[in-house]
Amino acid sequence: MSRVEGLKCVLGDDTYRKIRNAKVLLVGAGGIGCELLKDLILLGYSEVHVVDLDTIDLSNLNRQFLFRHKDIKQPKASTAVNAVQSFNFFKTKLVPYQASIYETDLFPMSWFEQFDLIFNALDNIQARSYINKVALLLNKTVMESGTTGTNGQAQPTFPYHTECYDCLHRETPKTFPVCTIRSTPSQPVHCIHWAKSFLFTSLFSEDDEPVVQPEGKDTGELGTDNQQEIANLISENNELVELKRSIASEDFVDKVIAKVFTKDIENLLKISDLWKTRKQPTPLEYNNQIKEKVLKISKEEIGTGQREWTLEQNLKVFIDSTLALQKRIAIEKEIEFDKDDEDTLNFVASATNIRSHIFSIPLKAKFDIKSIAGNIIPAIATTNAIIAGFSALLSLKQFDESYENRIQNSKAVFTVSNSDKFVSPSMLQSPNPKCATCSAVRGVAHFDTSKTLNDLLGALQSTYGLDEEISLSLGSNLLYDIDFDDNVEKTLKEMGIVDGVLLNVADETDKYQSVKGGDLKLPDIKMAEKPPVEEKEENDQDDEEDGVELINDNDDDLLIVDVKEATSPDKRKAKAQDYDDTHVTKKPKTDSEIEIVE
Amino acid sequence: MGSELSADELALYDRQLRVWGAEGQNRIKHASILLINMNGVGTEIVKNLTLSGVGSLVLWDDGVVSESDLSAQFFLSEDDLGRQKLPCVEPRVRDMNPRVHLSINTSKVQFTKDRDLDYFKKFQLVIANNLTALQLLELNEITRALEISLHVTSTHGLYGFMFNDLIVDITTYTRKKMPVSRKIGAFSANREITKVTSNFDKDKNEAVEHFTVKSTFKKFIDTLQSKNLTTLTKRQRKNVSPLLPIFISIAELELTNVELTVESLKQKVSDITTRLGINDITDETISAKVLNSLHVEISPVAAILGGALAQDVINMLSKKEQPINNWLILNGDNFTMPIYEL
Ligand SMILES: [Zn+2]
Repeated sequence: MSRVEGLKCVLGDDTYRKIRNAKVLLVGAGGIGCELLKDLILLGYSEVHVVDLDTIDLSNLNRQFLFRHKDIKQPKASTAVNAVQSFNFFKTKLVPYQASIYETDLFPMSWFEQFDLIFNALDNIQARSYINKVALLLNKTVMESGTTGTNGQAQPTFPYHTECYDCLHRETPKTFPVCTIRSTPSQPVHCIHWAKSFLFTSLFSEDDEPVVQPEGKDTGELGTDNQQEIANLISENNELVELKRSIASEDFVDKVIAKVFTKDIENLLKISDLWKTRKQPTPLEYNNQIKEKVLKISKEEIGTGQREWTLEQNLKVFIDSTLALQKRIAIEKEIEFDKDDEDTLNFVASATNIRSHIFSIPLKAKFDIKSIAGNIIPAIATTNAIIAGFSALLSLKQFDESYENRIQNSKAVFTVSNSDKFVSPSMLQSPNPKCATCSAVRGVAHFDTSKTLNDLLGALQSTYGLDEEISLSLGSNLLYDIDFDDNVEKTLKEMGIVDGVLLNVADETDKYQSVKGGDLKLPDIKMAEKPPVEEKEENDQDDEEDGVELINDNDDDLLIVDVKEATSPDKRKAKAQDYDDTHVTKKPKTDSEIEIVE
Repeated sequence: MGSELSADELALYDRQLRVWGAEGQNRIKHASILLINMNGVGTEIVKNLTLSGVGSLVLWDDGVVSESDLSAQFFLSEDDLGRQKLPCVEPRVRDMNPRVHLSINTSKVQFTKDRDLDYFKKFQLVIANNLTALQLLELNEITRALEISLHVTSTHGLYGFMFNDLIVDITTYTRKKMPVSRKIGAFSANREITKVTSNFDKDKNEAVEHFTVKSTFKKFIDTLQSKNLTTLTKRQRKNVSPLLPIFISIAELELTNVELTVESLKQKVSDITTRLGINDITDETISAKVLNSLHVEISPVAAILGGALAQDVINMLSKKEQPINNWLILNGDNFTMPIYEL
């Protein structure tokens, strides 16, 4: 059987034909991305564009099977694309980009338009959330996937029909009160935070502003209102800033040890209130005799850091890494903590353990401290291969003529550790009506920016059946509402409505939720009706009982967006050309807003 | 922690050490594995095991590269058509992780117990793909005689299965202690807990439970005759994958030398479902699809099945998670992967 006959036999003639003509975007060429790229070209996709900003690291090679040792420091996207050419059996056209997906001058909305599907193979919430917003604007199906260790999941999202990436609240990283980190640690993780975010940053990063300001401090954030403790935090800090000025001096490391591991602890002991219910710390005993002993410790004794070091070994590592960093700072001026920078990791690991010893907290191996200090996510080849496989299989369902069938035949697939199944597929959930991202309707608008705000208001009112009680804003900047009509005669360009900005249109009556987007040629979207107040309360109750996000039943009449129908591809092209010669502004990279004007 | 890893290994394997630890990695590093038939699933398994850093891997395949191989076998390229497969594959696998001792065997794939015991005894486990049922029985006789673990797969289009025979696996696992402790005794048809202890883990700052699981496996031929499904509830029996009786039927038809046709399969599936007590689940469309795509491979199916098998091998070696016992079905059409303890 030929390779083409094989594919046709499994996919069916119809899906096969469509895949051979489909152009898709793969965001990420890392763990899942490498696997997915392989699957997509072996399924015969016509064209795959691969975006990844990263370069290859040694620690990628245990799973990102397209990369070799010689590829370290090379861009992931082009290296992956080159690597798959040897088995590009269906002559898929491959286009790599070493760039940030947020670059709107490189990747404007019109660029995303060309893809039939978007595959996310990302490792962070921000980028997933960004692609989610792009998909909501352009009504694109996104094949979402993610893994951590042996756990993984893959599922498509259908804008306004199934839950979007932001529909689920995501856990924000755990933070600790300042006083726990600085005065009263009780777990290794507290000492790791102290070593990395306080001690290392204060000594080796440029910013020498005291972390705690003498006035206007927020005691909630500090986690204490003990005035003596707060005063101590401040003086401790100022002394460290002072100490940093002597970073070039020969006895710098001795001064650091004497201050942070002995004197600071003695000062803490004076605040007797702190130790009424806690075990008192023991200031480090460090003198010439101990120092002599420490300096005799050999490299072999220190080893690779898989087992815990003794206190003396930690001191040896602390002294050596401080000396190394001291030398480097003379040239580099500023050093950031990086888990793959051995000097910085050694400093943080040893400082963590010396502090842990002082506070009678169990010491940790450098290997384990690296995991926490570097926010390392466990990752293995098998889970990535399985999840990418499901993402690719799920994509086969996206070529059905019926949109309903695509949704019905798709599943959210999770790995499970049950003994009666390997994965658990579940029906896709409806959008969360409380989701701030997808409960607002979005669309891409195409403006002639020499028209006035008044023209735009008229178009909005006639297209969406709104009355004059609407408001228009760009970010937090109000452009118009019923009591503020100063700008109506100004052109859109003057108002800052240019390519790539997000325009928020809100209905000030109770009837509709806000719409984001707008156009003299406006997208064909239905305004989302605001859910009645009583229902909202019911939902709140249900939320508590089930402990899950609950979806409003009447979501069907909430939202519809179909940009494709609103503007035919030809018209869009013409519009895009219209704007080639108008002023185009670049959106700052950090801005999470999405452009809507093209 | 046992013997330490080198600084190089530590850097290369960092992300997986976060999953199975240095102890697990050391066990993986000392494993000696034979893989028979380098098809698409075999390609995925070899990729995964090589990346994980297994000690030694022998590939055994007598095939010549043909058009149908250019579907999911990414170690091949178009220029390899007509060449002996393994010599093409070998340098590309080695390039991926030179730490793994890799060798190849291109002699005819056939098993004779009396003759081959010597060859097999150097392996800790054997993996085989798309064997005929008869080959599988012969191979299973050898692995049983030498007490070697056996993992096999078969793929047909969107569908496939994995079977494994680890003979008996006794492993102690450690988990966070729950309010109700685990109980000694059988907890499923083939598995029992033989020992439970607990203590306080100072490092994790929580109470943990250690429990020893004895997992007993059956020979492939015996799983075909298993009565285990009759103990399922009626609802569970209704939900048994229709692929299970289809795969069993294909094996039995091969063993009795009956030609595989729509009719013979239909008859056999009906017999098997009655025997297993699951006669509500026949699905003729799925039978037709399996027959239509016998041994045809596509990349994502190979990736999922090869990923699951490699993970199961790693679980067995690293002793961190319980191995699958003993049939895993993949339905790539509805995204299910049920496990049946036959
Ligand atoms: Zn949402």
